Amino acid sequence: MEITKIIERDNWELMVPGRIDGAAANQLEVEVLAAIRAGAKEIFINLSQAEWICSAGIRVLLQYHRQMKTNGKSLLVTRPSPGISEILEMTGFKNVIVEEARPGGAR
Amino acid sequence: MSLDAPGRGRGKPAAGPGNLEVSLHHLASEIPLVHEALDELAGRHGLPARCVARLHLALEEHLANIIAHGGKPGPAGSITVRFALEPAALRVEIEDDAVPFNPLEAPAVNTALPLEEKPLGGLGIHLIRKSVDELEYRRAGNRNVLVMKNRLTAR
Repeated sequence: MEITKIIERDNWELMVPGRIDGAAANQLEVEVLAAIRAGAKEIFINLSQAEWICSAGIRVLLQYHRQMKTNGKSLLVTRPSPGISEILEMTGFKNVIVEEARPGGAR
Repeated sequence: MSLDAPGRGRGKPAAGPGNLEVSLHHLASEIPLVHEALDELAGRHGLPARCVARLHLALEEHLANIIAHGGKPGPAGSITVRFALEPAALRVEIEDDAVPFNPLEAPAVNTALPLEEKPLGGLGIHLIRKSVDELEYRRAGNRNVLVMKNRLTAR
């Protein structure tokens, strides 16, 4: 699995495609930590091309969502695919972690 | 029934095209073998994507739990996964030699808690319960056997 990065100043978008299994969750954590170290103020995890996400992946999202929020920054999921949406809904995290659609936004 | 050593890296048909068996060690790096076997079966029979994706997720969670908490990390432990296509469902049996553990008895996760109080543990079993239509556990000798079944409906 290859995570694609789009960086605009301190705004990072990480596109995570396919199946987010345990190994992919570790990979995602490495990329999120790199973004934080590089001074990202907003991190968007684009899950439009992701098929499913395991609990280890959800823990990465939640952990760094909390950490960023505590530091006055943000980490949010954008454009979750139907499969991802359903899983986040199952865990009760969907409303917390998914960015509200921005009217006219490209994201 | 397979007498092969685990970790061979490929699924093999058991008793017909709708059956597939995979063996692995207690190594996270071998979990993808099980996903590959499910992909092969799903492709061969054109199984509905959502039903299959939910089984991938449930298998990932259950296998990761066995490997992380089963008490037999590494090549010493063995897990066997058997897929069986039934007329209206896909049945998956996961047999392992880890410590006795019945995921059906794990406490439920309260998903309604506010974010700050939400636990980060216990999510895996919660996802298994939500992703499969039928779940059964039994202890057979010194092995755990979990059976997951998903109906072959598109939705």
